[in-house]
Amino acid sequence: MIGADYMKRIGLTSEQITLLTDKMNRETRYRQLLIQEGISPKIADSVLKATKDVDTLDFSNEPLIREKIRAEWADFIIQKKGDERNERRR
Amino acid sequence: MITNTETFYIRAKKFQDARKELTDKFERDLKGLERFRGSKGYEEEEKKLREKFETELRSLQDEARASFNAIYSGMIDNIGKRTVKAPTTDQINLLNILKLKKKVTEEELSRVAESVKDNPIAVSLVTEIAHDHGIMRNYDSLCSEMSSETASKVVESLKAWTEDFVQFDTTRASRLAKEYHERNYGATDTPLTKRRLFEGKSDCFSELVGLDDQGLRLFSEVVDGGSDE
Repeated sequence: MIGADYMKRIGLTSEQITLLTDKMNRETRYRQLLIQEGISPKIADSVLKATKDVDTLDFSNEPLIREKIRAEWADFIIQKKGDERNERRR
Repeated sequence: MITNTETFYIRAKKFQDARKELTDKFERDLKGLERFRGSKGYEEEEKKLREKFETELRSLQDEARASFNAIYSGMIDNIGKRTVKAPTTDQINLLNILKLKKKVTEEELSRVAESVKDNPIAVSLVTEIAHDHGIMRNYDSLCSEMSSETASKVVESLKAWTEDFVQFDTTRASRLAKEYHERNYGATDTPLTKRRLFEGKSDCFSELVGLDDQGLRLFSEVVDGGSDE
């Protein structure tokens, strides 16, 4: 991962470093949530690219973000083994 | 990212479909058991089936409630984030004069509401003045935007009606009618009427909270973010 030292070395200002670090942190957090909700890491990267408003997401309401992931990306969510068994039993 | 109202609809539809599937399966299984009625194991099997159904239904309901609560808080957050546009000096003067009047007629209120309709706060003040004078009219519909106060009330109604939707798959009217019948004429076997299944977002909001297309559009502008008052 690109660190603050590297950013300083390539000549970014402290303001730019803060903005970039914040953006990277947000993306990492959102990617983690995508994976936790059952989207494969490879697809999570594509979803991340397709999500334009990660910068404005309010992470204080994480359950809402999870809910939105489940609603919007339902087709990409891989069912856990337990869930599949339950579905078959039904 | 997907909006709050869209997320609400998708979640409500998911719950509606899952409950229908579960209920249909339970009813099918009960019917299948019917031919053993009177036998030794019938009652035990029927009890087992019912318990399993109730447990699964409760878990579906609990999951749905948690999801809906997260969505409501997202809607309320967006209402709180709206910036407020103050009424113009002319509008304030007009409203002050109206407030000073001892007697206000409905016609005057309509005229004032018409001239301040570009500002949701001013329109809500006209409604307040009307109520102070015993005229129970609401002028919000004149405004091209929904006020934050109205949007909050819609969220509250949504909470109440969605809880009823989660709790029961039968209509409230049929439940009340049955209750009335039982209270006044004794128990009845009449089955309760099932809720109509909604299809599509506008159908969902119309069924659950009575919002028409125009109302849903105004509500969405507020709770999905991006609109200022």
